[in-house]
Amino acid sequence: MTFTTKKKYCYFKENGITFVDYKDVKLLRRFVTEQGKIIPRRVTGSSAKIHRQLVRAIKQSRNIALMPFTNISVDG
Amino acid sequence: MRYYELLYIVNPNLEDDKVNNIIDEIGNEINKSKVSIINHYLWGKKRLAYPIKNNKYGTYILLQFSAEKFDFLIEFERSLILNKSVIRHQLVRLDEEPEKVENVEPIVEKDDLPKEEISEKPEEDSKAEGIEAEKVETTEEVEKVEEKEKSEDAKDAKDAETVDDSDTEKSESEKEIEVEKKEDDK
Repeated sequence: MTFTTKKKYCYFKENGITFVDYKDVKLLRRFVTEQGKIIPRRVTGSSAKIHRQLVRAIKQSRNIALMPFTNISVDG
Repeated sequence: MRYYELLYIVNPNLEDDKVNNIIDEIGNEINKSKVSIINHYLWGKKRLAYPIKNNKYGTYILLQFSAEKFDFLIEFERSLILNKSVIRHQLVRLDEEPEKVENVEPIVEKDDLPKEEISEKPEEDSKAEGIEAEKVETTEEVEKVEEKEKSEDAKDAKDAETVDDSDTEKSESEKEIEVEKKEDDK
């Protein structure tokens, strides 16, 4: 038996993005679970530098109600 | 020189004129200090990720500016908090100079409240029509099926007669076999 894992890659490195904008909800949705939790770096494979920006951006967009803190009550 | 970005949400129930008034108001407020505004435009009416003060939607307005001194920001933020039509605001410092944007068309989310009401009704109508159409089809189908069943029943009856005959024959032969087996056992 051989265990092959899907190779992780940094989404931002692939697409040449150097700055994470908190207003770009479409992008940030990729790095959040359905419940609205931030996906850990070991899963997404993004670089440490980018991940720090990402976390900040997600938290900022939560504050201004662009993204949910939690998605349990979808009806709102 | 520092660059700042302020995104604030205005009460969605306000009319366009009032929103423009608020934009002017806040523009004047910030112009009191030595600040150069880069962008100040309506971003759009969006659905909030969670309700704020019982509002499901919010009108987002984006303001980007550069400032030499920054001690005025505390007072400016205070004025935003005191402004009753501003539901929420967020001031963020930018690392790089933002690009100047011109002629921005405000985004209006598709699932806007008035549109929902309009879009829901025709869907229901279409659904109802669909059901009716299905019913008509089903009635036709039922008739057809009944006809088929009648013809099949007739066939079945014929078949049954033949089957019955064979069954009786089989049963008789089986009984004979059983009887033979019993005799053997004895």
